[in-house]
Amino acid sequence: MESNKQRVVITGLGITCAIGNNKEEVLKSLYEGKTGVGKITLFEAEKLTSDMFGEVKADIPYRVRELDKPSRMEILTDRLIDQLLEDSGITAEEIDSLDERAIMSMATSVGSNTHLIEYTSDIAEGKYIPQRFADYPKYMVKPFQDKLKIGGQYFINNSACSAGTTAICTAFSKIRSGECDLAVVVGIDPATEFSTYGFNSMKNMNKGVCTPFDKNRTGINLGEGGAILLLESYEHAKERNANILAEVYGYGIGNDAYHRTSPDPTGEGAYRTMKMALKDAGLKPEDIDYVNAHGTGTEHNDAMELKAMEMLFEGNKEKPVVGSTKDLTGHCLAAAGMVEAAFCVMAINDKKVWGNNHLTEAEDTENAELLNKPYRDKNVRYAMSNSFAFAGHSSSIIIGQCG
Amino acid sequence: MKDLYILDAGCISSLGDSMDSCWENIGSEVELEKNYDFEVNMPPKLKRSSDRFSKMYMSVLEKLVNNNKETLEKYPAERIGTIFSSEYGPVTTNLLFAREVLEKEPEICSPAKFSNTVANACVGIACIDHGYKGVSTMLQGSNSLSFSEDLINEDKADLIFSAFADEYSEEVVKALHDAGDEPRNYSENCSIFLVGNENFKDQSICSIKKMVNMNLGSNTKENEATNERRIRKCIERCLSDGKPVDAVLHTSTDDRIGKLETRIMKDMFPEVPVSGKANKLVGDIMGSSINMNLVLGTMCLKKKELNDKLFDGVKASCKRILVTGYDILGNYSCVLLEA
Repeated sequence: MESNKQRVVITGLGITCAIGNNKEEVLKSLYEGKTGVGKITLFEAEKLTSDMFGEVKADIPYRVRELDKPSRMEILTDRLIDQLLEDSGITAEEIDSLDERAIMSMATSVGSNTHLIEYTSDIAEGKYIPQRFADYPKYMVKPFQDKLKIGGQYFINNSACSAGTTAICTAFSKIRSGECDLAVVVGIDPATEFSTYGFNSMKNMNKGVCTPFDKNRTGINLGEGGAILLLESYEHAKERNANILAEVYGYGIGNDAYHRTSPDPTGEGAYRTMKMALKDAGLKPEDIDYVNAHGTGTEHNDAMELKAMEMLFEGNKEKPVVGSTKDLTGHCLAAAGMVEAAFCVMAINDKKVWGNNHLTEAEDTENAELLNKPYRDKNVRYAMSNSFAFAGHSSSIIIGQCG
Repeated sequence: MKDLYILDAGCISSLGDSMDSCWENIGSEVELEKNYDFEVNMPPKLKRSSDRFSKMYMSVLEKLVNNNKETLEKYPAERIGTIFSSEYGPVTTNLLFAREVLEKEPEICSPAKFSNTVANACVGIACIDHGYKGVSTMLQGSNSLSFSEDLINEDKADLIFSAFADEYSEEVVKALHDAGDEPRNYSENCSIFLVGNENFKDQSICSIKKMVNMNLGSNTKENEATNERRIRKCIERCLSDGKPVDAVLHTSTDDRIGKLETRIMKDMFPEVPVSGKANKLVGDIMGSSINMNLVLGTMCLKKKELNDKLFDGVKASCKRILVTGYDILGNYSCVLLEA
């Protein structure tokens, strides 16, 4: 490594999604292969092509109409922050003392729309509450300004389904370059009719639990939730005696330049992005033990992704295990990459790889193993987590044991 | 961090749709609080399916691509990046789709409209039209240049189009006014910079010597001491090489932060031409002022002199300028440009 580059480690984790409201609950569900996707209870879905959704199982209101009360998004964010403080052992005062050397990097898509959606409901009901709409972007950053007092730059990634992974990439770059010592990285997207109706209009929702990489797959399930990670420079983590969970080694991002909503079926874009990640990390394809795939359960994404991985891992003596966890959580949109990065950290710490839980007839692969069970014991030296999005965006990150 | 080089810049603003027209029109009467006219050439299918927000980027990008064709053609598509940002995003389209959802009839919801509600649709359209397959993402905010700097320094790209846009929305502006926001006259803006590494030094307008960003925290009276400390620290760190600047360009809005920054600039730069007039001449850019200020700063360096209408009659040569701006998320940016 060049002498002026900092190593970047993960020293705290929080998570809330359809399969659990904290690390322990989520881990238990991963072991059991227990899906959190089921009939949605938060809103009426009988007119939609599917009522299946990965809901967070918590007593949090779906919609909050009072302006002075926190929205579902804000409550979920607050809970993640609390989990992070507990898990990492860092305090808000310590973060505050870093001033501009602590940054925030966030991923969200509909999260930023929560107040916009309520504003349109107000108008439809003959009300007009301008404060709700005027300040809507600010609500996302308030918890990090007020509770954590983060004084450095705030990044919010809006690249749809690749946002979560890319949010980690941005933070990684900032710490690696020495611009900052610490980054709170969070990805969160709450359930909304906005996104559900939107995906319903695309006609790719699964009527049952989705089956990523299955030959007979028929579409996605949506999900909600989020995850939060504390990234630090290795030096800073050692100074405060932090418990290091994993290390971030490198990333790739790119664009297919192919279609507004469909991925390039050749897999070239995804392949380039994964190669960039490996190059950035100084690793070879055979170093990857586990891939948490984007694996949405759609015909196009999964076919493309497998093609890309077949190209990437061709010639490897040992095949990496490839799994998609979206059949457990649903597709958490911008938060998906963060949730799945958290799963990679858990895989590394528990020495497991997470498989595919709903495969009946797996797609044929030569260079990657589609594990057909919840998990397998494996010493994961390096894990790769991939995310592919509308507008051709792709993102791949490599997380591994602390070297 | 190595210097980043600005090869070219383009914009849509109240002053016009190019750096040159902005320079000529500074000081002339401008219309604010409206959508500006612009032309865009796109393949018909792509044009039909794009909303105005995306077309703003496309219009500016098209000019930059045409003006820099020779340079761009030397590099493979995988090495040309697109890092875009916006504060409010495609808010008009999002309002339209939200209203369709309110009808509670899924069949009336348009998939084409939904695909334009995602903030990154604009980047996808740009990449599809121009074939750029390099590093790419969409940020909510104004800090596309900051991330572009990392990507260039990490050798993940040779050239990046770093873009910002916020479309004028009557509904957002009315809400801002009615919510009791301090009075402003808003204008929309799209600013795009073509940036590269030191290989482009000779053909660049200027370099970005240093970029420092902090979050000011909540914009409240109680937090004013923190706001001030961070603004000063940001400026000091940006000028840590100890060399003097020829001018400072900031945005003296009439709100709390604007007044605070104006006072700090007077205090820190008593001998240097300081302009806080950008927002008076251009309008308060929706969401964030930094990128339009950078366009104006870049123009000063391209012309090698200060614009006397921007700098209160001061006509002086300019090789080094400090540009600042802040956004609705609380990010405060100081950028040191040098010719």
